[in-house]
Amino acid sequence: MKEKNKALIILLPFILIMFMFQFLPFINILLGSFKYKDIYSFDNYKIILKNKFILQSIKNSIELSIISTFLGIIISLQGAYSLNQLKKNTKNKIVLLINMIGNFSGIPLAFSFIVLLGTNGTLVMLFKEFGLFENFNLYSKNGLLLMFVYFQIPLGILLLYPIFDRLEKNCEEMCYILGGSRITYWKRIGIPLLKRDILGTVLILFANAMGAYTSVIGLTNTSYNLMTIRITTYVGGEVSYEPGLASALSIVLAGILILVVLINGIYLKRGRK
Amino acid sequence: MIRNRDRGENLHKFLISIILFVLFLPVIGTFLYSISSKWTNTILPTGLTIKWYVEIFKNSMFLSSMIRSFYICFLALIIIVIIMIPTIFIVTYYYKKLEKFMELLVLICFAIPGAVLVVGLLKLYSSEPFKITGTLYILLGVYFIISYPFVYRGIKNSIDGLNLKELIESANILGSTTSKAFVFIIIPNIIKGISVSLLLTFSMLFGEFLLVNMLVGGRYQTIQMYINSIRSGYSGHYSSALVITYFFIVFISTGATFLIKKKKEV
Repeated sequence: MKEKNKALIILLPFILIMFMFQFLPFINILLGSFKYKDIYSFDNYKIILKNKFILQSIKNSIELSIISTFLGIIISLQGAYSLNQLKKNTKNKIVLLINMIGNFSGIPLAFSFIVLLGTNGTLVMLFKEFGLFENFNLYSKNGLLLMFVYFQIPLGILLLYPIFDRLEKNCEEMCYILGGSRITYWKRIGIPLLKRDILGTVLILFANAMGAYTSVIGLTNTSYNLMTIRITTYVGGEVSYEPGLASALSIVLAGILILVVLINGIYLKRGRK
Repeated sequence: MIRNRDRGENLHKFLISIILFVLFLPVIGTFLYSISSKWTNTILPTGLTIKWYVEIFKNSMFLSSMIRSFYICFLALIIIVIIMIPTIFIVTYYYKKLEKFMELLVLICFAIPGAVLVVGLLKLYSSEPFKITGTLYILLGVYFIISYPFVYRGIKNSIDGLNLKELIESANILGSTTSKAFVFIIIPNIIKGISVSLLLTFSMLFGEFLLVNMLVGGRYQTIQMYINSIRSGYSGHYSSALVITYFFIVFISTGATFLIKKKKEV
């Protein structure tokens, strides 16, 4: 018993750090979001609802996240499935490569995109020879979308490839013997079995895109209006210092993400039971 | 039937190759750009050179930003080893009931993005009594937070793979204290899990930009900040060589995790 109490002391630094750098900031944001000109009110949230610029950032963030998640999950599903059809040795090597590329993110990633697809990008030059991509603009929504899909794919494949192990080959063969087609197999057996994990991956990809910041800064600086960009310019920008608005918008973003992650957690747990 | 399956495998090989090719295209393109002396309006570069790499390693700004990145990552990892790993062990061994709470913390730390944390941290720690914005303390604290979900999951999986209660109790019967058993029995048994978690955390922290940029700023220029700062005014070839050098480091640390994992399987 004495030992157990002593162990409690070792937990203190952990609790202290969590408290100082996770809870206190969050509580501060929560309280700050209700503080407008030093008086507690809902004014910050009202401003968000009225301000077209902020609403646009929310719309842009959600739009970019949904589209990139949708495209990302489709490519990752095919990728993860194909990966599982390969020999184990090859599979392991490819997983390693995908892991590596998954860590290629942020400013360096944005930079690579500029080298390849920027105004004088090498690929753009190549395509122009063939008369393609004449008016592709990397520093726009399409450019960002391309980069978002790019960083969703490795994450998607890495999250999805273990789940295909659960599909037994026998089931598939049985289905064909009983006269089912490939489509029936996937519709009736494959997808329903994997539904939960696919949804979980969708939610994580969505959260990943919503919170993206560094690669966006690297590509478009602060010119494309997204939630993370708005929040950081309100709190760190020299031009517009709006801690109240930054807090309220942070709460909106954190609210969306916590909800998404909680749904995932609850859903997965239920699946395990 | 067999032939059919072979053809199936070829199709999947083809699909995977396309995905890999597209994913590696930015790296390959940047690499080619970094070793070319001139590449304008042609399909392939006109001359090859390594002078950009030589230039990088002669540049003291690059070298010091690299050292800073490594330094802050290692400090963060040391704190993780000293504080987080014993905590996970203690919760698993003594306070099973707290595990749900630890799991909830994983979700919270994972869900709240850096851009949000920054808002609260800047407001809290920019004035007395805790004026730590602009110092490395705040960065170490927040790196601890963002690493937690990954380290917890990794270490927890390794600990769950052991028969913790039996191991510790046998050690106790043989006269060893629990803390000794933790250091000399548990740690060596999960050392591979720890190494993998730490290497993954290293790759993540090494690529971190938002927090260090917002909380510490230009005073502590890390490698990502350096790459960001030279976007204009420098030759694109030079920056490409920089990006490739960066990727190479991440590449090695990811590769190392796989070597460790592979050993585990044998």
